[in-house]
Amino acid sequence: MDKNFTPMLIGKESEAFDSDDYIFELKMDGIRCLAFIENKKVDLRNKRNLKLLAKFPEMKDLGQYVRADCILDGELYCFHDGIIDFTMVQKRALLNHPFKIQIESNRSKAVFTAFDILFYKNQDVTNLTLLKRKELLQECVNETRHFNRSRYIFKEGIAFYHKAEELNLEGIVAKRIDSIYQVNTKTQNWIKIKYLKDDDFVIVGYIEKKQHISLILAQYDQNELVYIGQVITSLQNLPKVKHSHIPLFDIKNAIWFTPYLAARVKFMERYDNGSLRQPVFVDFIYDKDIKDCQIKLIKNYDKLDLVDS
Amino acid sequence: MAAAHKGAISFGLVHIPVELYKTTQENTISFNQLCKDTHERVRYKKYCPSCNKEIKSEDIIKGYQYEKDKYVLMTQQEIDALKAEKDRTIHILHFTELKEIHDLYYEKNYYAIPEKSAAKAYELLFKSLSSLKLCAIGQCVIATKETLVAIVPIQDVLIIKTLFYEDEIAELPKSISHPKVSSAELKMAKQLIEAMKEPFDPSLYYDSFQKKLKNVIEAKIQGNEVEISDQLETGTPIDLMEALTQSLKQKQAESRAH
Repeated sequence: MDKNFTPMLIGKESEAFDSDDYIFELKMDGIRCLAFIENKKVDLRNKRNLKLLAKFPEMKDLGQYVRADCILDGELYCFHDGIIDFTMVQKRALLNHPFKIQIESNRSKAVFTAFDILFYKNQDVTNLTLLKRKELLQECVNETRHFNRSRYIFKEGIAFYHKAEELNLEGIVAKRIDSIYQVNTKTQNWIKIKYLKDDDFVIVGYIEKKQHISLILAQYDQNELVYIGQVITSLQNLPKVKHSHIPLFDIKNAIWFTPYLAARVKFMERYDNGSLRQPVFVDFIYDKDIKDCQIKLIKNYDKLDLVDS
Repeated sequence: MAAAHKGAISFGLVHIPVELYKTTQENTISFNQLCKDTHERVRYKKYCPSCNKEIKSEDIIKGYQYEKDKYVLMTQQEIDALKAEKDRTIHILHFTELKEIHDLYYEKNYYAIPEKSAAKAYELLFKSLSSLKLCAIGQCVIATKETLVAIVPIQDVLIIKTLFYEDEIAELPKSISHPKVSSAELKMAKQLIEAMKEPFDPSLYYDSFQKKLKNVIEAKIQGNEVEISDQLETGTPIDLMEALTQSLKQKQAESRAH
């Protein structure tokens, strides 16, 4: 089994849409993985071809749940308190100590959701259409608690997206039903439709980079300004701000402001320590008292109500 | 696992970018020290008995003790000026037969993994070393230390073995006397040894104290968190996906009915 390739990546992002040419599935917020299963033995690789099985030993038994040797493409993630918890799977991936890995794999089993199949019953199936591959995937995988198949719907991307948004999920992916699987490429046939959160932050300074600047983001914890992170924008965007000689945080080569400017930033997720995942600058806001930029340490999501009324 | 070192193997006109990964993993239990009343981590404070206060890192300098209470002071700038330019490249100095390197010189091992673009150059070096049964001797800066290494093909990978410098190898502290032994004694000893000869299987051995310790710790964690196993029974990601797709299908059916 040749393992020297990387999975096909999403090459396009758009707003939600409806189309007969596409199916829609949930975008799970975890680690993209290929599972190579040969003689019931599993080799799990991330998209940079790094072996992951030692970090997620609970995936060793996937071979018992497939009908034949296969290569599956999917997402490895942690499902905790009814939500997909990216921070948790990321923490797991950073563990090195085998005993700590063992403890965590018992406490919070990760889940592998397969959404595509590349090889099945001794045949390369990447040249079949997506729908054909989905059929093979269904035939191949016997679902169990930590190993399953991604569900998808036809046509109704907009309604599906709003459902995902209601549940505070990362977003959805649209996939062309007649598309083939091309390894080592980015494809325009897979389109991500992401839902972002936003919040307002105090801009306390910036760092000059080659092409852009990094704004230093802070929020108030009661009356104290706390460092949150940085977000990229261009120097031309920056309004006139009073500079200060007093560094607020331990950051080298920063230019500091007297705090009064606020900005809105979109991001995927907030880590437990308050920092942001994939922050994107939206705009400066001027109609806000910076003291109202308070850090919210409560988790952003309510518990999911799975029963749809 | 993160690469322990990124650099390149270089000799003549050949330049092979590689990442070095550790060949071993820490797998023993280490404990944290806790305050017995609060269970909080014990912290260390750096303290000067003469000033009778805690010392911050910016107030600490380095000194070499050459006799009791006498120190040669060194600033960080003075130390930095002596350091080799940080050259991450492993420069091959020469090739040699593996048996030329005495076992006592081996310190640590790293797997050398080539970057994608260097796969072929790596394979060439690997294949030629294997077939010539040679290894390479080289030098590079790992972290901040100027390190002597041997590059050895083992199975299907190049292993970088860091070597001690000659001045780090301690001399035999006492000489071995090698008294005369009779051939009968030697024969008997050899027979005994031969009778106990078996292939070496590392999977048979483990540290039994560590194993017991881990069992006890795992049992304690599970004992503390009985509710966790219950939690797993409800709400799987498939329920979530099913709920979403089902509710949409329902809506589709309803809207068609209207």
